[in-house]
Amino acid sequence: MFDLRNLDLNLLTVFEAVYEAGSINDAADRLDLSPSAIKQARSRLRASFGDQLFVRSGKALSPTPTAKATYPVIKQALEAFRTSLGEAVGFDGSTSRRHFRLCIPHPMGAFYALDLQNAVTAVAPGIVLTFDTVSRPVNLEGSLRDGFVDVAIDWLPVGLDPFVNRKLFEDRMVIVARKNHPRISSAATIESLGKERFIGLHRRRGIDHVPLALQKLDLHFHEAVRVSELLEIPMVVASTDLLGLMPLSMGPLIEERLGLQVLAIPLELPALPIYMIWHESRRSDAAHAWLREVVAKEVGRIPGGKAQ
Amino acid sequence: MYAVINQALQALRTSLAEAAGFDPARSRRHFRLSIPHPMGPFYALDLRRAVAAIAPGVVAAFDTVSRPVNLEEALRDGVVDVAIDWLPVELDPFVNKKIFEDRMVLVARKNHPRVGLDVTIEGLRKEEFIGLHRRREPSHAPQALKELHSQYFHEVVQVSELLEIPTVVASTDLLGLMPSSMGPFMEARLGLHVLAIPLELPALPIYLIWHETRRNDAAHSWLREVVAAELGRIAKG
Repeated sequence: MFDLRNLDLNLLTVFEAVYEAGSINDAADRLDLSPSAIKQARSRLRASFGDQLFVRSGKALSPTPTAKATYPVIKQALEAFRTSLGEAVGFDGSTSRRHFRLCIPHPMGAFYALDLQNAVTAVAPGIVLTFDTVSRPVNLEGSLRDGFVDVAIDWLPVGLDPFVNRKLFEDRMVIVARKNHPRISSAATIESLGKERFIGLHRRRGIDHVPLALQKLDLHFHEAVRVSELLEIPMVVASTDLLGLMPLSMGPLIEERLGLQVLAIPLELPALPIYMIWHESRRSDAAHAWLREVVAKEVGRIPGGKAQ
Repeated sequence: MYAVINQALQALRTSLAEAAGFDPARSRRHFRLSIPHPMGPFYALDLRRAVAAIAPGVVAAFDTVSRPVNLEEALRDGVVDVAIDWLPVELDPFVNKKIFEDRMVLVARKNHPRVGLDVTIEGLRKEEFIGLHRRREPSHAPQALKELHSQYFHEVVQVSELLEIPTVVASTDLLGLMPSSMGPFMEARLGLHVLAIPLELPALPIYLIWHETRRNDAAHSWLREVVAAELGRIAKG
């Protein structure tokens, strides 16, 4: 049996961070330590485990088979410590130095990020928030499950069982066109729209897994070109005769800043709920519960206020 | 397995193309282009138009994500044919051909209370910025970006996509750093102030990047010529 008294348990948080980040610098960033402190901890881990644990593969560090086998056990144990200690001590936002990562693929992501940053700084100045606002995140479910992302704000709910999807607000898809478009106005019919060309977004998932509102739209419109980021759509629409589909919550910004027409789609379409998503294992984490409340309050407030 | 099969198919395509010669008018080749530059969708539309005019059967698909994942591998494995990027691939079997010179500029909203033509570097240090998450470690960034990062401007938030920067700048007092090739669009469409950065900064070359193994692929060579001609033309205005 391994004698835990011979191991500094702080080394395990370094192991966890290097495993998840895949680089010394990112792990250092995550733990608020210097890269040299991480390197030192890595040597001590190697000595304790009698294994290299990580080997260099190009610019990244890849786990050895021993590290791969050990990671789930260490991760679970650390989560248990965090949860129980968090519950025992209680979470105090004003003194906490917790680091949260939020993924917001919604095109208003940068604005939600700013509002959340302001709200958190006001009451919890030591808490660090990092935002990933990419339109088409890679392996979001894996990142939520592994604790690399704390919460996501997304229109694609995670259908798997241990995830929680909490509806924040209802969005709706609309058509955007430039102001002096030669053929498109609020009187556009589904037939006339069917003759137009659209700029679309590369799909994130198979058509069966997208929300109903988006599935129905896929059948009607002809896409001339597909891009990778949602904000590219209104930018191109502003300069061409192409049309685009965007969520209504972006409407005021698109109208005001880019001078676009924002038109209802002449189809019976269901709403597009926007969810806050997290992994069930975070249920008893007091700090995480606090973050969820902040997100629900701030993002829930936005569509009723300035975004719609 | 995919990479191996893809590589074998690419080898077949290349040798058959060499044997038969490449005829754009009849080709049904499928190309994938990665354009992390923020003008990516506009370049994509121009390239699509140029390709359709002379090669109606050729299909061009575009990935315009600002921070692509594993671009080098995708180029090596043939998943991506060419990239148009400001980060050259420094490894040996890649070719980086400069297609135009960009330059970093400062963007602010038109009626910004403090930032105008007379902005100084000291003034900028007091302002708040919206930044982009870094794609690589600072030592691998182009010189112009390295020098900008070393100024330690105060970034209140970092986002993942370049176009989020001018979008947020237009609605707030935050400042942003963008390539000057986006300048006319940001001025005309978003009503932003596009200002020179008060620093001596080198230019930011934009490269056409491909894997050396594509050298003898006649169709790929044709694509490279189309990209270089179109983007060179756009850059000249």
